[in-house]
Amino acid sequence: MSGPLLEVDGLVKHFDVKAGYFGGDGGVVHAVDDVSFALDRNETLGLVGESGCGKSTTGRLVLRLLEPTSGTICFDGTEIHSLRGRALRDLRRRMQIVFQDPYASLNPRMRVQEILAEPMVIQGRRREVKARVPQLLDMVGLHSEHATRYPHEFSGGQRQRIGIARSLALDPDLVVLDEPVSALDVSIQAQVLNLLAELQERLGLAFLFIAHDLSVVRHISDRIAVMYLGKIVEIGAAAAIYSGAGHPYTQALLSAVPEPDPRRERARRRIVLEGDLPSPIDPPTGCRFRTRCWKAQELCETEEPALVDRGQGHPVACHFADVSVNA
Amino acid sequence: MTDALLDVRDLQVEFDTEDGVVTAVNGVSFSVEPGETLAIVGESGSGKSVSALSIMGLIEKPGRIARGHVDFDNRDLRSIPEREYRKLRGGDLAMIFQDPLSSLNPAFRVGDQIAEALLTHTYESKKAARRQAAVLLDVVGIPQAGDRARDYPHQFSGGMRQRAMIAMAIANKPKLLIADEPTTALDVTIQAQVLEVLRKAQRETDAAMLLITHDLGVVAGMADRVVVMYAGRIVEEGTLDELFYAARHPYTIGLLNSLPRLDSDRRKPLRTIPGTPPSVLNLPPGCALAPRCLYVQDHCLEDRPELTAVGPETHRSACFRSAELPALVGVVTDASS
Repeated sequence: MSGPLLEVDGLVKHFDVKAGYFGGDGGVVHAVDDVSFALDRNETLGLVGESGCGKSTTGRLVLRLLEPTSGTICFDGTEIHSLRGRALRDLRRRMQIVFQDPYASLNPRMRVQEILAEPMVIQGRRREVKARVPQLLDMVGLHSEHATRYPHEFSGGQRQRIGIARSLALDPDLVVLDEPVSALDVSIQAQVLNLLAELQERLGLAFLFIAHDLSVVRHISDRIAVMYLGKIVEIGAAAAIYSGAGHPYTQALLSAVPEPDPRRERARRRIVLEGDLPSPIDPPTGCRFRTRCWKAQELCETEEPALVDRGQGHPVACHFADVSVNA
Repeated sequence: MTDALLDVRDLQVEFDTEDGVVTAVNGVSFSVEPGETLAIVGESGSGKSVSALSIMGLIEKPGRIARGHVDFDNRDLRSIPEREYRKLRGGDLAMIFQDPLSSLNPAFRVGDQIAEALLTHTYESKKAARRQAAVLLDVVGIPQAGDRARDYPHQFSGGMRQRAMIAMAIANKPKLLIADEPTTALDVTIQAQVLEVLRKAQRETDAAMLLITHDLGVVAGMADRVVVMYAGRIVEEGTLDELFYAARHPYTIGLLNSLPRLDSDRRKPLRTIPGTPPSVLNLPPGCALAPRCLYVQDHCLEDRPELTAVGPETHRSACFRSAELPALVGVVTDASS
């Protein structure tokens, strides 16, 4: 039990884009560019950012569902890139994923018991299935009589519970949660968030929680990494990020969250960013956020800001990062 | 006739399905005053979008409006011929949909689609309509609007498409703008931009707005009054502050409590509404919320509470216990904390 459970260092993932039939130049999508972070046992790291920022790709790289272009991922002290055969299979047992869409991620032709048994069957642990399935259903707040039903007989929230139960079948150490509640109705979202927190406490799980909803991420995460166009722009304790965001993008993101409180909405100072996300095929030079940043200067164009502590108490990748804005 | 711009009375919308008749909207009444923003809030299946489509006259088979009145600008929309309706749509009565990509025609230039809306209603010269289309794109904040008007929808980003939809909707200075989850498909910083544009568009046209959404944050920043729907019925109605600070229905209170907030206690369990919304095919006989309600009593399972005034006349709730609810909620809060 020494060192972090997961250590990601200098992770890069580029996707080649071929020229299309209707022209188009092709090129390289810089989906994840030099991303580093660590995750402890029993800890939740929230990975936030908007579509195309690379958060889901990062999650898939960590699980080795994608091969990185460069960089290293160490899980419990072992570099996972070199693993083959038995060692790789054992690794897969210890890291699992829950997907966003509880409709697409469950096979409609399988009964719940088959869905939950599949990980065990693959790992050659068929004998455990009978005892384990009712246990798993109970863990996620479903009943043992649900085992013989098909996914279509369940509501969205219940399906997500099934997806969570499946991820726990092999007793993993790490679960990557890729937007696990964003497809759910508000009242159901809260139920699933509570369930995840409870399971983490009980099972000592580490969560990599990928989401775009900042209120949700803040609620569940110990630490938060904010991503923009393939890079982490700020990372730190959840409380520190929310009360003393140093990066302009983090500040804009936080100020854009609509809050269910009319008085605060009337009083708020909103930072509305100009323009859209630049293309990840041809990201801006220097700081990638500079094209939408109100603080941008010449330096931002020529020199990429490093992700280091600039007096905020946590690393921020901005030449002109604020120190304690919310004071 | 009232002085309301839109007056919906006792609306009932049914759909024929293989499993029987589904009543998606069940005796719903609300009104919108000129210039005001009314938000209809609810989760999936609550009937909020079907209500909006009924106003637009867009309920198609197997659905039908089984009962009720829809009066708009002192005209009874249920009795006007389709030809008249078509003049209203995109004219005085405009709608913005959730998914701009499926609402824009991929084969036509964005500017031409907006010009078409203008030519249908107010403009006669194609050239003038095109010029006005570019002006409208500029109003909604499309950079280099003159050039971008010649782009096709696929060349626009999601946020720009939604802006183009807004430009099209306000083209003919509508009296009422119906926005059905206008920012749900967008990223949070783009959502902020589009909401800003929507506010500006409303200001410049003096349009009233009917905002359909599930996002209470969006409601808090946009609406004057709010209607909360659950299982096809209105359960609570009031001004923005009445709803957010003095809610009198267990469902509204439950929704507000179940939201994680930027300033709430981290990692403290959220107070949820237990269970799942009922199937509209199989509604409980009494109050639809009763099986999930923290304050349920025996008669809630058999009798259905009517929407009645609680305090000021703007505030109404459909709960037998609405009067004692503030005290009850206080007790539960104390017990759980």
